[in-house]
Amino acid sequence: MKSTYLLILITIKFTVLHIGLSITNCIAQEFDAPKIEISQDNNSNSNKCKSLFEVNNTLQKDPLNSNALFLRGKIKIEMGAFKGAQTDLTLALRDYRSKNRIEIYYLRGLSYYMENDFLNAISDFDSVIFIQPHHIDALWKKAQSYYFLGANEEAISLLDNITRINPDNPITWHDLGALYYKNEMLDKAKDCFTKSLILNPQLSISYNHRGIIYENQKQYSLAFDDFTRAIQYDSTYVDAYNNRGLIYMHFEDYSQAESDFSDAILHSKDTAKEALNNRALARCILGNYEESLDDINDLIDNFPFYSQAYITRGDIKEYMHDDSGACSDWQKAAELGNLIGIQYTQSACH
Amino acid sequence: MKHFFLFIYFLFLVNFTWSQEVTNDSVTYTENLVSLNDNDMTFVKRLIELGDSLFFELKQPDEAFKYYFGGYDYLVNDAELNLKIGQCYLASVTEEKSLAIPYFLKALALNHGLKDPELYYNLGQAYHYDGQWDKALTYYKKAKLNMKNSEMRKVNKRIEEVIYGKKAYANPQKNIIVRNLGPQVNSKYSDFCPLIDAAERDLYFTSRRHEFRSDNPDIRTHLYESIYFSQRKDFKNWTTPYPSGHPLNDDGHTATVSISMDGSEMILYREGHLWISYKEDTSWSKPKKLPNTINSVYVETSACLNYSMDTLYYVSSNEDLSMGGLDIFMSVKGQDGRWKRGKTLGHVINTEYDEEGVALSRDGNTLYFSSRGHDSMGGYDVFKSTKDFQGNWSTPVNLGAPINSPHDDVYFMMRANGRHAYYSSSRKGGYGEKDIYRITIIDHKKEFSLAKKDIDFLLLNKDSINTRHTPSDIDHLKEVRETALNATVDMLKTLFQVSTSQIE
Repeated sequence: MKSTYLLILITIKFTVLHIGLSITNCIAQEFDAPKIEISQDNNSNSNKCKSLFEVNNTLQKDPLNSNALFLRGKIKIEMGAFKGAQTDLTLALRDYRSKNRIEIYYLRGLSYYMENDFLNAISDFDSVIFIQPHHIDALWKKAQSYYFLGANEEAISLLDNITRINPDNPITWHDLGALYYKNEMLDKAKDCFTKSLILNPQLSISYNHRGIIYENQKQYSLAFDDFTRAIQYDSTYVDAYNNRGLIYMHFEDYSQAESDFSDAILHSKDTAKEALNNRALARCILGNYEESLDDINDLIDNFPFYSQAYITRGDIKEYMHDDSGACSDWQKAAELGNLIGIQYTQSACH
Repeated sequence: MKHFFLFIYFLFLVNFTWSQEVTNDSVTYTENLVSLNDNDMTFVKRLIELGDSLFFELKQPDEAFKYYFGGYDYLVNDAELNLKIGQCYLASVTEEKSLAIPYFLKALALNHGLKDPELYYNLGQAYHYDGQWDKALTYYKKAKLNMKNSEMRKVNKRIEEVIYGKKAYANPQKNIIVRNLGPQVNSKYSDFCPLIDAAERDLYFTSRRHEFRSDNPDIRTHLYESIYFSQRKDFKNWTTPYPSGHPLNDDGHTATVSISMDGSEMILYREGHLWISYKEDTSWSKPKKLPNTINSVYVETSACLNYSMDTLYYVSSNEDLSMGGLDIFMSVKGQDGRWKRGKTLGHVINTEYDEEGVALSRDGNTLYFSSRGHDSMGGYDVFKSTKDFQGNWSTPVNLGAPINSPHDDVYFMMRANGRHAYYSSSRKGGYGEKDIYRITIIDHKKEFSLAKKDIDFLLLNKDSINTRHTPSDIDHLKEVRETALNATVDMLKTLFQVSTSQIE
């Protein structure tokens, strides 16, 4: 009797518990839908699909749910469906009470940016900046948009603004310096690289780039120091070795130049084409014609459309008194659209 | 009998010592290998006397060497013999002149402070030929202090040459590359006066080589000058030269002088005068002597025609018109087609020293010639002078280093394109007395084709959607740091391996 009661009691308990759990689950599903989070694991497409499925379910019930639209737009951007994202985000923006307006504008701007529609992107980033003037990501993307549009002065102005909002980021200072350099404002560029080095004294790329500016300004000893410092902080820095080699070339220390170019080639993961080209020249000047030709032939084998290599090989052949060979190479460079090749062919090959 | 064996021994020694090599300023001498009594020393002295007669009377320094070196081991501390050997090197046509330096230095040390101006002068010359300008200047100045007044002009000229040479060698023209045509063309004898066609395929030149002699006969008297011909195989290889047959060469001296721009006429040197030969299909006609308006009772050695072949520039030792030694003259073809009497180019071009090896640029407005005067840095140097619209020649300019050297640089021939030239030079490092060189003149404005990467951005031109610019988001320097860290780890590994191997 007792065992029969006990069995009935257990059965009732399980039934009640099951019913209770089912009810709780339903409620939870109903209330959790707007809180769907996109997985932070960007590589996990299954997570994105799962999230998208859940968001779509929500939108079937409530097509104007701004939160769901925002989330779907975000997922679509991550999956590369920019047009669809723009539609969703535009619909999401109809909800004036949405708390995610800044991010919606930013994401829509980002989707335009990724489609190279920089004017619309700038418009959206402007909206973000209007609401939140110190939104650094929007400022950055707007600066990038201007840069890709070729409006370097506007880009400079924006990066300058970013450095005022967040003066402790060496990356911003570096890129501002690079931008000044492209606009031929060498002194300002130099100052920016210096500022980035103050913030991060081991930023070898800034040493290298400041060295290039010093070299342009014919301050070779300062340039040499900067390239050496860049190598000191990153002993595998290919460009710094190449640049220091060029300084050695300028001072006619061709053996040291050859050594630096060799280091650049050694540390390069791929074929260091600049260093290989330069080492070929250094070896030619040193009279090692065979090694010089080996280098430049190696370069041309790897980069058959690198026109400067043909100019260099022509020069080497000219040094070797092989005029017809030189002319043939300059002609090839000219065919690849190199103006120097055309000039040399016209002046020297009769 | 004893004397006979001793003589045989000397002959053996002569061959042995001939192959001695002296490389540095200081020579390691073997002091008195064999002691000889007074009687035997007479044979040594006899050898030296034979050397003296060959060197001073017969002017055959390359023969005299053998006798001097035969006695050298027994007279290694003889200042006079050291001086003679040094002078032999200076006068030699086959040996490097700078090899004289250690012998002169030895003679100077053995002189015990005796101020011999001739020795100082010779030592200055040896350093001069070796391109040691400062030392050459020092010894020339020392020689000047004790030199006779009659020889003062000679020393002053050398001092001027050294001063100019030092200046020229300090600033060599890097766009000019001088290259020896190699042992296929050049021999251990004198090879000079190259004449090349417009396509740079056919090369005529003069050589004193002798195909069938393996010994080292005296080049000045024993070997005739003959015209040789070689063809270019590729940019560095030439066919083995062979002597042009009759009628270009004959049994006497025949030398190349000049070839017309189209390669149809060749001027030759023969019997002290200028001759001309015409190309008939593939062969050359029998040379004809140029008229007496050009050839005189004196010696005519070099000539060149302008492009239109109506003006001839030539070199003559005509004492009546010359300013001294060989001078450059000009003759114009008259309307009757005959060459008019030659006129000197005057004091702007000619000097009291020798001028030689005249050549013209294609447009006829630049005259290239060699001279021992003007601003020479030693021996013949190549100069150029340009003609203005009134026909006046400008002051000659030395073509400088690396074309010119303290040795003879002569018979310069500029190709029509102005980028290549050929000439002969007795500079250090050749295969014989004079060698033929090819010059490439690279446009001096041409820059090295150096490559470098331009300044790039870290972020600005990157378009990743995941890039966040707020400082806390992403470590942009991660890659840079990782590479630096890897490099440090590599370095530590190497250090560890090195220290481990050392401990083992």
